[in-house]
Amino acid sequence: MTDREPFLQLIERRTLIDNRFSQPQRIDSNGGGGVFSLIFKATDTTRNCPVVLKFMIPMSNAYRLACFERESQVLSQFAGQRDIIELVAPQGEIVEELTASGIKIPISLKYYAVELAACDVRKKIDSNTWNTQNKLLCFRAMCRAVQRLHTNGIAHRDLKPGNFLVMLDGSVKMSDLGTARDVAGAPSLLPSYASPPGDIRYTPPEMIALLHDEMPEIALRADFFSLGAILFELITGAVLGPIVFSRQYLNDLLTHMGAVPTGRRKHTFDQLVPSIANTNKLPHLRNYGSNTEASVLEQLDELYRSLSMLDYRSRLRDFNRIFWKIESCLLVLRNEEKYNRSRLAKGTK
Amino acid sequence: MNLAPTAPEKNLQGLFTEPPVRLDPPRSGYLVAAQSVSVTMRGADSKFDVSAFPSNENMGSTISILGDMVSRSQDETKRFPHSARAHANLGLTLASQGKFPEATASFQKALELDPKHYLALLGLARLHAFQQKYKEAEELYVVLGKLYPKDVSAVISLGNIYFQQSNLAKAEEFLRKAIQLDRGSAAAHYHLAITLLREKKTHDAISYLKVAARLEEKSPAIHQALGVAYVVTGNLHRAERAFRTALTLSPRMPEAVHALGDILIRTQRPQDAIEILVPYVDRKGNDFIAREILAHAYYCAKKYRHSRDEMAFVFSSLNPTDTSTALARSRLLNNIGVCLAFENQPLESEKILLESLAASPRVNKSPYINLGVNYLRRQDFARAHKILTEGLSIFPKDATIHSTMALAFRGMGNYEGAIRELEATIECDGTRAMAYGDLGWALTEAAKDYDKALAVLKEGYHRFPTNYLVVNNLAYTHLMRGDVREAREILESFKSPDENGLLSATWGLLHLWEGRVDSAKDYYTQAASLARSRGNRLLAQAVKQKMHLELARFFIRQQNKESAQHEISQALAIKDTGEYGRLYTRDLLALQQDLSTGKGL
Repeated sequence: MTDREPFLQLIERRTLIDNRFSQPQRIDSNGGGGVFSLIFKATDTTRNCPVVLKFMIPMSNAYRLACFERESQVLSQFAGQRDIIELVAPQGEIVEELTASGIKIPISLKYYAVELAACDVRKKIDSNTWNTQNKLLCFRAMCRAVQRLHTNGIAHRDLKPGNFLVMLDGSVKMSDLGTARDVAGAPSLLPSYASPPGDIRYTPPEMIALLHDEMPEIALRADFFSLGAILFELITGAVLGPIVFSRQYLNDLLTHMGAVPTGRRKHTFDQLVPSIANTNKLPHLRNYGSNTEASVLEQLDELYRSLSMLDYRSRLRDFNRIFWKIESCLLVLRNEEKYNRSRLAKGTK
Repeated sequence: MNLAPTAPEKNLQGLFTEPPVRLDPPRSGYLVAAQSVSVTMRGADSKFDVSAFPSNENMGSTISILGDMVSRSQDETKRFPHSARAHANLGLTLASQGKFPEATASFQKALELDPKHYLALLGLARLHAFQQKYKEAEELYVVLGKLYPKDVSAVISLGNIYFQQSNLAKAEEFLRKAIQLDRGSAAAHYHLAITLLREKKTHDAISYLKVAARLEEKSPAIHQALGVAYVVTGNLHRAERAFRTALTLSPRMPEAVHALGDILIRTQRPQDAIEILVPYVDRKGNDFIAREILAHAYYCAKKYRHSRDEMAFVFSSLNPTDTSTALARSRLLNNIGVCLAFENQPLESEKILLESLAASPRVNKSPYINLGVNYLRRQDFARAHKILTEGLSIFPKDATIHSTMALAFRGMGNYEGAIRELEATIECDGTRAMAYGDLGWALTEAAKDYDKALAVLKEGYHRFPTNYLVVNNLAYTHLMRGDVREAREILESFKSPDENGLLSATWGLLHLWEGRVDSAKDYYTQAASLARSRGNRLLAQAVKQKMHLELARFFIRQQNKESAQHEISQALAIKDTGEYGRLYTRDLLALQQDLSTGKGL
């Protein structure tokens, strides 16, 4: 039994939550993969459809709690919009009694409800059931979702395949906006960061160097890096970070940036980043991807490289160009498919 | 006529102009670049960085970030224990941190779950290759090749495995196969070119590198390799262009900076090299190879003080107790000593050169030569002889030490010794035209052995028909034997301008033999003024003395004793003629004695 287990059991004991969500069932034995949240499947009795309930683990730290609340706020801001998971019910709260060492402790469990997905993109990559066209359609949806956020001045800051969900109808939607931040307006939850928000394996050098402390808007550029890393993973199955970010790379970065006070970081980093980009090369898709059509491999390689460029100043940030590149790859693939089909038909005749 | 093959002062200078050990050849630009290419080759299989942590305050941050990366990957394998991809990615993460046994276990776990898993097969094969377990890596690449026959990277990697094992023929075979599989693969072309370079098939390598550069225009490594290949073929102009392209693509690429600096120095543009190297070392102060190349550039630009400073910086970085750096320390001290000599600090130079000698007495021959030259410049021929004898006891086959020793013998007036050393010089290194010229001169002028001199100079002329000194001395020796026709033919065949007056003097002697006294005198006068205009006053005086000596001989041949006596008196009145003066005075006195006894008439 893990330390999550008592909370999981407490919630599962309930048959109805807030007179709306019935029969909560943990999503897997662990209640999802989140460190600070518990995920349940339930039925929304109002709309008579399955939903997901995301509970905050009590006693999480204040920052995590704030992140949880912020996620619900951001989701309500994007309610009804495509490509982002739909918030079914904004933040609610249930109170339960947790028995520990014979003592009953009242605890409050905050939650919100979102629509149910079939699985996440990471699982799809695992199963290797998508062809290149599916992967590109998925990536296009991801980019659209990020574009939506950016248009509203919000950076996601934790983009990775596991944070995009494949819905029951096959569409792909963005989720897990706990680390999302309005880079233009809302103040930071923390005065300064000890480590970058989000999964380090998808984090660009400027975020590892904690530049977002002094210029939060840099997180928008970081999202593009993560998109490139996701594209790399969609095509190859390999996570980009561990391949690129060697021990030496991190050492170089942190040795130079470690002692730099806030306010001087950008200046120092701008001097350092060209040498980082020169010494740490992004791998070629060809070296990791075996079954992608050769006709689009170079274009995809170029796209992922432009997005994941280690020097944030030269990174591709133009959504129109990204969509144009995706469309042109899709066009090539469709034509190729059509040609193969007609060749096959002629052969059959 | 011949005065001397080269003035001793010039000769001393000559040894310094081309420093005996310029900047240790294995560390010079293009060779380093060649090494870097092989590193890049390894790079295809070495995504796993294993460099050690420096001990600094940020270590904790690095470890925590790396730890975070591992824990994230581990979480995935816990959440999805049946996902081969999760295990393969954990393997990649662990491998990137140098945790090889754990990484191997992760890859193997992934392969247990899915024996055909591409990423796990590839990751494990690369890990084996990186750990130099070539056999295991080869087996996995063969499996990959069978499972994914269209995958060119497995074939390239297989080629690289054979390259690492120095099985170049097999490496070439697989890399050619890779090109057949994918004609658009820049990596395949590049790796094949590197293999061909190693096989010394340079021109083939260049053509493959050109294709690779077209396929992947933005790769600095390809342009760098192209530059190296051009250097090997001696096409420095194209090499420079390739290195500049590599530098444009990657402005701080050390190998490109080294190679370009080296090329600019070799093409006599040290100032351009300085302009490239100074901003580079300002940023990358601990690139000691670049600093040594910069020191060499300063040296070539005659900025000896700056050159010394750079070398002193590099020297201070070497551990004095580390025996593996002994040769490097000796080389640097030698080069500092050479700079001091050029700054007219002979005593300081001697001190440093002795230090250089002490640092590596049995491996580095340069300090022996430069100390010898130092003593020669100070006219301390005995010490020069002593140090060079020491040098010869360790490097008995070194032509430069022998030729320097010949100068020491000449300084001491020991022409037999000089002849012996010059003969040894030619025996050790037959490509030195100057040695033929010098030996011919010593045999003619000092030993009066015209037959032997003629044999040596004819051999020299056969090998170096355009060498100024050999041509001049051959004509002179012919004239000393009275072979006027042969001398004229040789002189007329040589079209290059007179360098320091020697040729004009020989023309003068020819005219004298032909009986044209006035034009002969004109030639001698022209030779003397040419020598003086080049700052060689001793030579100018010697030319005058030689003119009177040869006029005396001419008048003796004419049976004109009075005029001959007059010329001898005039010749003996000329002072400050240096080494030549000793020889000519000897000849003049002998001639005078012959005249008084009537022997010559």
